[in-house]
Amino acid sequence: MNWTKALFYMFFLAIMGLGVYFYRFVFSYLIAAMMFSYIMDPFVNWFERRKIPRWTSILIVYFLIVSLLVWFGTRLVPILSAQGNNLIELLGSDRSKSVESLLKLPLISNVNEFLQSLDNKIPNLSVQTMFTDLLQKLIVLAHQAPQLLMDNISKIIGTISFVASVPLLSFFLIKDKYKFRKGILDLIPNRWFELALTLIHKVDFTVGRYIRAMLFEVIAVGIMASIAFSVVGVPNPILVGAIAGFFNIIPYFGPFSGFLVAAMSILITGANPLLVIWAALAMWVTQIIDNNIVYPVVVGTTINMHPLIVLLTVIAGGWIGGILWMLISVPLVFIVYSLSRELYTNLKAFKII
Amino acid sequence: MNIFQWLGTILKKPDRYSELKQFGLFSQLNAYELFQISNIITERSFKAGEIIYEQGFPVEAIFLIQKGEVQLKGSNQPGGIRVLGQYQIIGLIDMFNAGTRSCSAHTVSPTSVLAISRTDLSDLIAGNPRLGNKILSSSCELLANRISELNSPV
Repeated sequence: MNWTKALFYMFFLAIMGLGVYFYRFVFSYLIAAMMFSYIMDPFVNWFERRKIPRWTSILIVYFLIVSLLVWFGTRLVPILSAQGNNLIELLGSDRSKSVESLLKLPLISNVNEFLQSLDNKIPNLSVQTMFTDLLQKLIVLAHQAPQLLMDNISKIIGTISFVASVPLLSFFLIKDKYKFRKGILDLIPNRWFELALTLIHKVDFTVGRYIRAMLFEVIAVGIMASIAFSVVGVPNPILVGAIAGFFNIIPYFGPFSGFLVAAMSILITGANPLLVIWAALAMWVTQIIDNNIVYPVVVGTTINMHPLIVLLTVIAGGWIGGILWMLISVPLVFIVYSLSRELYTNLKAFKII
Repeated sequence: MNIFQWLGTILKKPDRYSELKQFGLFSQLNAYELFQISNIITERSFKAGEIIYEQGFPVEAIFLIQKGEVQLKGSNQPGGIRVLGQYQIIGLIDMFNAGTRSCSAHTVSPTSVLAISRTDLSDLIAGNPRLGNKILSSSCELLANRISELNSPV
C-alpha cells in the first residue's frame, strides 16, 4: 500500500470517528425508529400490495395506531391509575400497622405460634424473633418495591414518549426502505455482494420476526393474564396482568415474576392468602395457552436458550440498568447471538473464513 | 410503487420499466408488477474477467444481464462452457434447487447486471400470487426452451 492510499484511509477513518462522535446521541433514536418500522412493515406491505402508495399506507397505519391508543387510553388508563393508587395507599397505611398487623393474619399467626412453641421446647433458639425480624424486613422491602416499580413505570412511560417522537424517523425509514437497502448494497464490493444480500435478509428476518413476536406476546399475555386474574379474583387484575405481560419478555422466569407480582398484590391487600394458589393456577393456564397456541403461531419456534444463560443475562442486565435493561437484555442477547451465528455460517459458506 | 407513479408509468412514461420486459422472466408482467420488481432489483457492474460467483457457493441472487457477456463454466454445461449475452438470465436453475451453485460465472467483457435476491422474489411472490403465477409460467417456459435446446441435435 502506498502512502497516499494510507493517508486517505486515515483521513476517512478520522471523518468516520468524528461522525460517530457527532451523532452519538442520535443512535438510540435511530434504533428505536428501526424497531418501530419493523413492527409497521407488514401492515404497510399489506396496503402496498393493494396498490396504495407507501407514504399513504404509513399515514393510514399511523392513524389506526393513534386511534387505537386513544381508545385504549381513555378506557384503560383511569382503571390502571386507580389500581396503582389503590396499591400505593394500602402500602402507605401498612407502614403504621407494621409487624403486629401481619402477625394477625391467619397463616402467619399459625407459623408464629408454631415457632413460639419451638422456642419454648428448645432453649436459646429464638427463631421467633428472627421470624419477626424477617417480617419487618419484608415489610420494608414491600414498601420500597411498589415505589421502585412506579419509578420504573415512569421510566417506561418516558421511553414511550421517546418512542412517540420516533414515528417521524420511522416514516422515512419505511417509505424509502428499498432505497436504503439499495444504498447499502451499492457500497458492497462485488466479491461480498451475495454474502451481504444474504445477511441483510437474515437480519431483516430475525430481528423483524422477533420484535413483532415480542410485542404481540406482551399484548396477548397481558390481556389473557388480566382476564384470568379477574376471573380468579386477584385484586387489581388489570395492572397485575399488564405487568405480567411485560415480564413475559423474559423466557422461563418472566411468568414466575408475573405470578410473584400477583401474589404480592394479594398479600398486601389482605385478601385471602389461598388466592395465591388460584393466581398461580391462572398464570399457569395463561402460560399453557401462550406456549401452545400463541407462541407457535406467532413465532414458530421457541427461543433456544438455556435457562442458566437466561438467568445470567437477566442478572447482568439488572446490573447495567435496572428493570428496563432486565427486560430487554434477553431479546438483545438472543438477537446478537443468532446474528453472529448466521454471520459465521455464511462466512464459512462463502469461503471467506 | 404507488398508484400515482403507476398511473404515471401508463400515462406519461410508458417505457419506464419496459427494459425489464426484455427479460424472458418478466415478459408477462404489467407496469405495476414491473415496478414492484424494480424495487427489489440492485444494479451491479463488473469489469471484464471478474468473477460473479463460483461453483459450490450458496445461491442467493439471480443475475439478469443488461449488457456484456458472461461465461459459465461447469460440468452441467454442454461442452463445459457456455457464453450468455444481453437479456439472458444466470442462476435460474440453481434458484430452484436451493443448494449451491452448480457452475462458476465470470464476465468476458465489461458487464452490467441486475441482481435479484431469491428471498425477495419469493416474498414478493408470496404476497402477490398473480405476479408469482406469471413469473412461474415464464420461468417454466425458459426452462422448457433450454431443455429442447439441449436435446436438439447440433
